[in-house]
Amino acid sequence: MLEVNKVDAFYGEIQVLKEVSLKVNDGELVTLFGPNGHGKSTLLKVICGLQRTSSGHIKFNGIEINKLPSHKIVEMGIIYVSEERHLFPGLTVMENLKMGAYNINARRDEDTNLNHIFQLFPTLEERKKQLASTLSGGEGRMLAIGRGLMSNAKFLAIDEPSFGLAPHLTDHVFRKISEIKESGISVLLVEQNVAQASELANRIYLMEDGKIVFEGGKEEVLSNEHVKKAFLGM
Amino acid sequence: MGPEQLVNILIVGLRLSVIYSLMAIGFTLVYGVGKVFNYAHGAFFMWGAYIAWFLSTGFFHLSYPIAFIITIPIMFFFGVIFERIVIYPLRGRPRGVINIFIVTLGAALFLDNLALVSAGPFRKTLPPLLEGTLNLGVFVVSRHDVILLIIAIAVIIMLGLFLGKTREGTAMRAVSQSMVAAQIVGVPIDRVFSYTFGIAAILAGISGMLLAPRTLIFPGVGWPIFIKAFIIVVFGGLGSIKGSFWAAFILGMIEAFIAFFIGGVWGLPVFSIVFLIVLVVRPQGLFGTVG
Amino acid sequence: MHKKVFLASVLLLLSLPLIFHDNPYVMHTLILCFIWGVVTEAWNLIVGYADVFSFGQIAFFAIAGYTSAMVSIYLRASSWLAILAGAGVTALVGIAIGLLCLRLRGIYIALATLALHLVLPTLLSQGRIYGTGGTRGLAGIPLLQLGEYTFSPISYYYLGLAIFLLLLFAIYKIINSSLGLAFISLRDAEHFAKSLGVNEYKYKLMVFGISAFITGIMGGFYAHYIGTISPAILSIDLFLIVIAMLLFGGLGRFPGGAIGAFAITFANELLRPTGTFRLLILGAIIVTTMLYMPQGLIGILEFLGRLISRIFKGKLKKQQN
Repeated sequence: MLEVNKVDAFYGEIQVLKEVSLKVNDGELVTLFGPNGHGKSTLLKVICGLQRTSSGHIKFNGIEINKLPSHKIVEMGIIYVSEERHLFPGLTVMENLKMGAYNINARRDEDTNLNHIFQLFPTLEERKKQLASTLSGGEGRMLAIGRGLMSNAKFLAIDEPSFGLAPHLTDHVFRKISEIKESGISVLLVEQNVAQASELANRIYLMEDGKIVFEGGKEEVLSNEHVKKAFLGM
Repeated sequence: MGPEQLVNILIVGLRLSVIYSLMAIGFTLVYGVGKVFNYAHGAFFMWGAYIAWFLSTGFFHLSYPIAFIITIPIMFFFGVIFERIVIYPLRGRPRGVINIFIVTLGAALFLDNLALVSAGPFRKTLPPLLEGTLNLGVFVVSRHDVILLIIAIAVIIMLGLFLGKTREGTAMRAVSQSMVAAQIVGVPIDRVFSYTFGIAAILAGISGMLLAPRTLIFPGVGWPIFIKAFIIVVFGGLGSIKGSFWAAFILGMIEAFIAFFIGGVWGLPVFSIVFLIVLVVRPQGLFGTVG
Repeated sequence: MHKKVFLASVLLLLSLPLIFHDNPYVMHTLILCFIWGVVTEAWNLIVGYADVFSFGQIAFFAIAGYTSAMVSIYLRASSWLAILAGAGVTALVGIAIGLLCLRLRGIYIALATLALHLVLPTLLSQGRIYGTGGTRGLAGIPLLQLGEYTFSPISYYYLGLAIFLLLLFAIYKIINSSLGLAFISLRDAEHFAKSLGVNEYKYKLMVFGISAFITGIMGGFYAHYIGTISPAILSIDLFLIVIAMLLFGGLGRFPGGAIGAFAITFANELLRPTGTFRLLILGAIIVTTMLYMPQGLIGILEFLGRLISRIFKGKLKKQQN
């Protein structure tokens, strides 16, 4: 479904992504681990059109997307859920969700999606008239994911959803992500929480220093002592 | 000071206020959405008046109301093209805000002198939109002033509806709250920046066309009003339309009173003093947010 | 490499009057280059090095010019003292402005100093009773004298050159002093620098004062060279031209300001025959420089320099083989 092929990216002079290639198949949940600051977030941003790649290409269902403006990529169903959430602070929960349905394809299904999301995240329904800036960390994460779903997502690129959350909230978030994946949406998940995130994953990539250094299934990763020690601190 | 004079002051104040309002709202829209200080906003004011002049008295000899209407879409394209050429290339760069400040200054210099070169240094006059005066009981107002007020207020109301109810307006509000969030939900950012500039140019151009019959137009006519407009914007709160609106009224009225009591030339210095006070006491202005 | 270029330029400047001594127009243009070169470079200290977006430089210049003119005319003081007085007052004004503005966020400093620049003309025009000479300004400012000798255009040239070199040297020293290093560290690694105790506020205040003083000297010199000063010095046109000088040369690179001043002053004079197109072209220069040449002239010169040295190295290698 999503094919990233030898993609480079730069911050000014510094090369952040070095010939990165990865794949996410239909209905898969793929996790990306690696040390902080080594390019994982940048990769997600590049996929979603929030940052440009200087070489290589990215294909979604066969269509090349790396030169498209970000709003066209959103229209195709590729949605970014940022670690920083990036909510609309002056809007309510409900308004934020409705903004999620901004693109043409999603507006038709706005009501259906809204119901679905309130079922998935009842807390959001409770707080629907609250300003987004007043939500707690966990609630904000839910809203960011919910808003992403409102865009008729076929593919979610989620960046560290468990960051800064208490353990029981982390469980909750991962359960929800699992439910989302079960409903047919493909997910590329960047995480620091190796233990829980690898439980959900169909496949795992490891990224270090802007390069993909390992690819494999859950068992492969967890049985490889070298990988575990070097990258996962286990 | 008798009631007649008071009414005159109020009318002057009202007229200044709505014009300032249009200019200030245009400026604050561009800042709110794009975080851009468009130093050439005064040049848009001037060019609105000049284009209307070209279309009417200058060359095409259309009636002024017709020229007025035709100038509006011209100003929109003016704004859009301006954004593409001058702003768009600088948007990603570091120190973007101050660079854009300076490049728009240069563009303003260019646009001022383009007017000088095209139309000559001599001041031009424009006929009023409607000739004659209106008698309201004891008081006499010019018809042009009445239509000025009506048009300006209508424009402000239309803008409010546009921002609140239409998809494009909502997109503008979204971008002004968080550019990244807007990108994430699929708002076409580049397009939004473009038409925001177009709208700002329209607002400035309308101000120019409304005010021009009362004053003369010459290259650089946009500066005094632009300076007042950005003082108003800071006073009202950067990025806040509500703030610009109220600040425009407060300061417009103050200016009318000052002009009557100590003379019009003190308008700008008093505005500047207000400005410095605001910066020291409450930099976020009336309705702005800190940070 | 840089030293050679510098020495060559100084020699060139010293010898120019020998060629142009009967061309007062060229002499005048060069003196203007010296004046604006210093002002721009002093501005570069604030904007380029201390990273403060102040637009008050010409206001400083005008205040100094007026002060020194008024001291000369009304207090009948010697012109030299007047110039120093002007610079001193301007330095105090600079510090006062710094105290008011530096607590504000970046863009607000720009607006506040801009407001100062914009209020000043009206204050000066309306200040006739305070001796500012109103809209026409002040005329009859005494020229510089040493004893009985009144300065001629050539002596103004050499004096201007001397002050130019002296002040530029002073700026150079400041940039390479602990003060300058403090700013570079603040620019490149703000939190680290602050954690080491670099007091940003104090240093910025000092820069305001020093920059204002230096500008002030040239302001006084200007007044006692031209002989008149008026609110026209604060016109938008001149304001934008000086900004063009700053940008064109290279913001934050010494001596970009001075180079830009020379380039733009000459461009300004060369463009005079084009009449009304002059400012149009200057405006276009500002826009295109910002868009396509953010490094300024210095960037281009450095690029050319590297290109040339690479070609030379290539030739040397060929000779060795």
